[in-house]
Amino acid sequence: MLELSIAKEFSDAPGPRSREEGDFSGELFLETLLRPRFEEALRGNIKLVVDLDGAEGYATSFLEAAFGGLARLYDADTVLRTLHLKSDDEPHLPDEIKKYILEASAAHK
Amino acid sequence: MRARQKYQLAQARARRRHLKRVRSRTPPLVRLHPSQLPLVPLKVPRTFSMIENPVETIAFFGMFRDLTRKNNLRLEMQEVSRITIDAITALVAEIVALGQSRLVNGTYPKDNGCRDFLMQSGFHDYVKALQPVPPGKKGKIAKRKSKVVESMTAKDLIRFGSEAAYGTAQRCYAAFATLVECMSNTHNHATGRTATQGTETWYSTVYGDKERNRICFAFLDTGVGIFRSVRYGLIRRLYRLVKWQDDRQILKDILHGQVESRTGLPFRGKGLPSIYRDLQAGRIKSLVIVANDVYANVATDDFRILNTRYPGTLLYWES
Repeated sequence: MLELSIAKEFSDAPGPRSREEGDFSGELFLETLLRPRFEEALRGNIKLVVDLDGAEGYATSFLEAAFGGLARLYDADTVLRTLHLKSDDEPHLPDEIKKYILEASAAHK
Repeated sequence: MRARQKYQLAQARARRRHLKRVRSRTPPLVRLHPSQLPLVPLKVPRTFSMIENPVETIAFFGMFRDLTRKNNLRLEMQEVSRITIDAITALVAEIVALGQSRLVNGTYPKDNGCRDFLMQSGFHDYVKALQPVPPGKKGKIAKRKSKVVESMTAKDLIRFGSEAAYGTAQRCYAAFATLVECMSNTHNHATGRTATQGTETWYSTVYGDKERNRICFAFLDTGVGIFRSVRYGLIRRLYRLVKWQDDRQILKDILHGQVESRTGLPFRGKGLPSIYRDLQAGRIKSLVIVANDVYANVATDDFRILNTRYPGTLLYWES
């Protein structure tokens, strides 16, 4: 099992969707941390636990760019099978993210 | 080649400036030194609040702009008996926009609560008082003419507001997300033209209300407002082609996340629907949106068309 804490490894104040919109964007998170870690988990056939706790909060655009972005690179099944989302602070977030993953994947097909 | 490109860019800029002047609805300020202009009084509404008294307060700001074209201004606030941070934020925006070109002074409200609220709100970080005023401990106004979304500013505001309201700095997840979405919306929509995307000024204000145990937020962008922005402007035209619907219905559809599916436009617009979901789930309390000719108290489902347009977008919410 691999772990990725957004607050500890990326930023405790995650920002907007794209790099051009501002710092700590979902796009940057996807490219620098989420995708490499996800590919590592895929290669090892293990789960990637993404810890959402400890941050100030998440804008929808950040989550969509990061997790929806991942679903545009891989299919939704692979993403949902490999990722485990952990959020004690905001328990509704994992379901919301799963929705973005499914929507992004459906729109991409 | 570089000189040619520079020349072409300068030409494009000049064309945009010219278009902006032509399209501008209000005539430019009279170019006179403030000392050469008369000082005229302007009464501030008793309930100085865009969220509670939108008609009078927006009309007040219209008069503010009209009068300051040719005059200095004296704001008469003695009779003000209710004041909220959205109106203070909008007032700061108007005064700051005048720069050194006009003199604006005024009186404090007689009501102690209102006077204290004004002084604690962060108003005097932007507007000089005759006598030194200590920095506000309950409120803070952040002003940016920024091309970027500043999540760290959002974090600082929330920490400040929560400390003022609860005594300790805390996280407010939905309020943080709302602030970031607002900044992002301003970046994407406020100027109304993609060529100058992201250069509008925005103001973000927080006030920790200890008595009500709430943190109040106001976000104001001084751009063209939701309905005249590029994305929603196009949607508005499409809506009106299909069936005449006023901006109230468009705003409702935007909040319900139905605009994209109805128009089939490939835009992302998940920001306002997510704010609405946070309201429905009780993660934020109270949500008021004022944009162009629409006033919407979303929490109470009070959507109104105003006869006075507000040139920009204001969001108010509590946490």
